[in-house]
Amino acid sequence: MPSIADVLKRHTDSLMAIPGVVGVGRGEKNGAPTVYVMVERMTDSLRRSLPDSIEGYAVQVNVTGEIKAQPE
Amino acid sequence: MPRSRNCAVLTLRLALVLTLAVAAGCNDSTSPAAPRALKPELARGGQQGPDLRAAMAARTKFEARIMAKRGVEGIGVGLRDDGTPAVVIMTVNGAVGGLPHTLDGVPVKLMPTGPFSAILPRKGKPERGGKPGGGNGGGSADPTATFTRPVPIGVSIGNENECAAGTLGARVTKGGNVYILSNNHVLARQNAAGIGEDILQPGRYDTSPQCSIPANSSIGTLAQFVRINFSGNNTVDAALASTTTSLVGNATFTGGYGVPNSTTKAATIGMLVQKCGRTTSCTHGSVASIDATVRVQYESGVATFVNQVVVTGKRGAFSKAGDSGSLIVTDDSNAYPVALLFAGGQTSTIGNPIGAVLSALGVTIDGK
Repeated sequence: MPSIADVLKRHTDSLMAIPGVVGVGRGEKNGAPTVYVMVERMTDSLRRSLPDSIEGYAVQVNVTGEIKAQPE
Repeated sequence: MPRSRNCAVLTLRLALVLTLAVAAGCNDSTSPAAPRALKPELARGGQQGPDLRAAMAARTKFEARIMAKRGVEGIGVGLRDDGTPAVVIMTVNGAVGGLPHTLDGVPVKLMPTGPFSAILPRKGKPERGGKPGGGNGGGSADPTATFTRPVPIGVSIGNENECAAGTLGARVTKGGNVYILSNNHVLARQNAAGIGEDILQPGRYDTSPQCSIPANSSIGTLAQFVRINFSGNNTVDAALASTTTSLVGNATFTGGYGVPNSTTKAATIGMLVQKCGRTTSCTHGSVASIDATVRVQYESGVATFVNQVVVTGKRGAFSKAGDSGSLIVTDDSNAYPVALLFAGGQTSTIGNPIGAVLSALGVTIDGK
């Protein structure tokens, strides 16, 4: 199985290109590394286009809203 | 696809910035962000032909009437999913009655956004005692107050040339000199500032009357910043202001974690962290993701950041608008610096890895 770092390197760009995806990183669930995907809001089209796993790593989807710089 | 999406969002933001400048009564004639960023967008609008111009005209014509409706948070011009221009009405939760489907023939697009805390300033801010040093004593400090010098870290600061507020992250050192560490977009106006501009405590968003510059409010001058690249990858949103130990201390205000460690720690998933900042004061959370690539919305565009740290709050949001610049440290008595907070969504906060911040600026944390 490839390392999570290699998997992120290979797939981050294509995941970020999916409309509605705002971030992709390394996550962890139950002690196992995951592909952590941040989306503005969950939509049917995202449900269809996001895979459940990539090269053996679970895809963990988090609804974050739009990510904005935080000045007041 | 990302390009057209970004374009739409940018237009929205600019429309909001314009609305905001009027609505807030913030007579900031020198505010650079809106006019500077607006020009290219307007030019592009002109090239895109009559549809976009019609949408902009409709927005202007109906703005007051639409904004008066309860539940409407903003109005702007944007693109529909098929790429055609529309008047965009931003709502708290989407359920606003009596909104039109078209305005002068231009389609209306509803966008539930929640309230715009990051962009629209709160109006009618209550007076907070108003006496200098009022934030220092007692159990619950107010990070937006004017603090006696040396000011603690975690408090409101801003650039003299904009009516805004961010957070003083930490005191750092380089070659025997001391500096304030915060974000580029707090100290350096998103690349627009000149070296030597004054850094004020509190930031002008928090002064009374709002946006004024009280005497003796400068605690430093912009010394260095890493440019934000809006067309490539970034790792840090960081800047330094020259200061002195008599103007800026190295501990948080009362109720915070105190003095951060001078040794840093790389974020790991699940790590418990805390921060003290201008808006949400001291909060606790945990690292949800590392090595993250994130697209971040600024007033002047969208920037992509790589190798970022994602934090989620323990109770409610870990950060909100105004917390930009806060130092994120481990949630234990060691308070090892982990990241520099600069962005967030409803449920997540994004920080630059602190190692990258310090090496980009050539400084170390002036800590314990």
